[in-house]
Amino acid sequence: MTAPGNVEAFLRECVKRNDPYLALPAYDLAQGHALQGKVEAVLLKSSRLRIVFGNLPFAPSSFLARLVLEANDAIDLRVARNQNTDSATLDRIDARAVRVDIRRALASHPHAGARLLAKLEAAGDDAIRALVASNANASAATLNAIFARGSRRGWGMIARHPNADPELLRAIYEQGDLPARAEAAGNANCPADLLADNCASPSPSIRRKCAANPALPTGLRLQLLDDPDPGVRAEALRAMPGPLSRELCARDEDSCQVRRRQARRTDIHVTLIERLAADADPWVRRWLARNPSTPPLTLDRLSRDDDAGVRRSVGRNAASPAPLLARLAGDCEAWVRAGVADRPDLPAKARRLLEEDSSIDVLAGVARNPKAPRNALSRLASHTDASVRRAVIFNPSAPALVIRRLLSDDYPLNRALAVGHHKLAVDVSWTCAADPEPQVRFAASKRVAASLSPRIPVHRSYES
Amino acid sequence: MKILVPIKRVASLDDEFELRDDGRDVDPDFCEYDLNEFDEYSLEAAVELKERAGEGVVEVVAVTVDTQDGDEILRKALAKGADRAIRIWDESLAESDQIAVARVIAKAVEHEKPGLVFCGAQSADHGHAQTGIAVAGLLGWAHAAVVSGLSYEPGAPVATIDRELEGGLVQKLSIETPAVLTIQLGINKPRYASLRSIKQANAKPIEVLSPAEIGLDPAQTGLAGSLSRVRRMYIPERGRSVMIEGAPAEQAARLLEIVKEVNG
Repeated sequence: MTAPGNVEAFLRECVKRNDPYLALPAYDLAQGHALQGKVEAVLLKSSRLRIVFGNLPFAPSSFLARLVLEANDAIDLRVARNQNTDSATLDRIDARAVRVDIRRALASHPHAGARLLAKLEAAGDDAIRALVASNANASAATLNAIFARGSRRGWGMIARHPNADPELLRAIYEQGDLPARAEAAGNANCPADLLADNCASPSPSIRRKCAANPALPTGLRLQLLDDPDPGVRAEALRAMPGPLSRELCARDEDSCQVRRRQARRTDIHVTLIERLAADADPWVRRWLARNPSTPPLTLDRLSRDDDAGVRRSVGRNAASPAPLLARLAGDCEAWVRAGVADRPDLPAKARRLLEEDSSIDVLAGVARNPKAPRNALSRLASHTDASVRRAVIFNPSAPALVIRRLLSDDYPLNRALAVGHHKLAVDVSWTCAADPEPQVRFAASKRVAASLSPRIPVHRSYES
Repeated sequence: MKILVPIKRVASLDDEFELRDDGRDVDPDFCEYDLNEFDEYSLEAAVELKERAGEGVVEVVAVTVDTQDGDEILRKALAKGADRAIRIWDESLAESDQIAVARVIAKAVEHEKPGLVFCGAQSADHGHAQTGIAVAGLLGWAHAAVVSGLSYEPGAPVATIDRELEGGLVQKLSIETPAVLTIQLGINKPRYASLRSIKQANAKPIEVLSPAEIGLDPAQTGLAGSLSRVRRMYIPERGRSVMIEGAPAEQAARLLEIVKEVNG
């Protein structure tokens, strides 16, 4: 079966088959085309479909805009919640929205524009204002307006908002409760004098927020590294720009919360690394084992750790050398072996060993390995477990012939994923246009739509 | 021998839904329909018995009481291994409750004469868990509910079954056949239908019978044959649950206040 070679043929095919799941990915291409009306008729043929499509997170925003042309609260609510909806469509819904749940959905939508949020603030209740305050697009003026209304609901959200201006933060600090003051202290726009004062606050919650504030001067952050509260010290260490001084690099810590943070930094001293490698807390050792700056000798030691999570972390560390990975491939725990199975730098001999493993996790790892040979992938593509077969589909190097077999997988999700594999020719993907599962037909149509869109390059020559 | 597997098309609701104008059910625009999950397991149990017995020993017949919309789940059953599919319907069956549906299935059993009937333990939408047991009662057959294990040689006079009880207890019992078993989730792993079997199922006929054709008295169908009637559906007013809003620190502080209030 040959895939439609141009937009006209594609749209005609979608209309002829009268299949909304084929037509949905074609909608953008139908914009302004003579067949747009017919494509829309396929997509809007039942009220159930409109409701389903209003909810679909991958429905094109142009189609969501079309859905709300007819006023219907059930559809408006779904489109107002759909993350793909653009700001113009949200404005259109707002112009007629009466229901509170729709207005709440608009207030919390990430594409709601500053003007819409200001309007919702002006006409809304405290609950809607709290949602507006937590929306990243709310302007400083809107945040000030919410504050000026006097209700304390949402002050914490205003205080952590990136658009809250310094004077607003000062006002919240002066009039708010402890959680709101803490949020104000953590805001990068917090006035410098307030921030400095708060570093000496009796409340650890406020000092923690200060320590995490990216605008805190280094001198103050250094002071907080000596704070009696471990949470404050951990936050100060996390936010401390590197490289750390020699003294800080080797610093002893009695709190495992802070030592876990030390183990994640890439600029700690080798003496500290050695101490952390012998730490009694397994999470300290796990973080160290994942740290790309941990030296090979320490990684070698951690790869023999009693805790399987530490050994697994070594296996996931991009800096772990190949011989270490080969040793971990023979680990007694399947979870550790699975951690190295998908690594392209795993030596071939070790990978061959894992190809015969009995664990589903390990086999799925091998199936995802871009260096796995064709015959191994072919075998794994016939495995009885659907997740192993799916892992083959996730392998970008899997040969087209192997992926092609998976187009007839019993598990519909596997077929839907296989259809979109970049190694398959578009013509081959299109053979799934009559699949019994809507998600597979959608994926097949999306592949063709992408090949016909000038914005997305198509690789027709990959098939082997 | 023959195993009859009654199946049902059930509705799953959207997160937000509206009721019909008469207030007695959910508006179908807000429902997704599919084969009842419990029936996937009862069907699989029947198909596994058939496959273990070898060619031609066991016939699996799926049956549903539904409008033409029910053909979709019958095709699904055929694709998963049922040999035949029967749909029983006419307008007199509208508004049937679970007992009226059981009357239809009991007549279908008399019509088909199976050795076993496998029902799902309950339907995922209404959850009465009565249809299978009512079928057994109407037929005067032995029955067992919530079956989680099954050992049976086709044609044998007795089946051995496990039933799940409270506290993790399992009851093992023998049951004389013919019998009606209602099958619990987890008794097996329902298969996915292969593309090939889906295509083959689409070509198979579905036998459509009216209640009269299986000998059902009109006085026993629909509302007349029902023992209950839905008066209305509604969402009761919410209880004391409260959503805690605000920044994480605010939420934590409010939670602490609530704990203190509750503890006095």
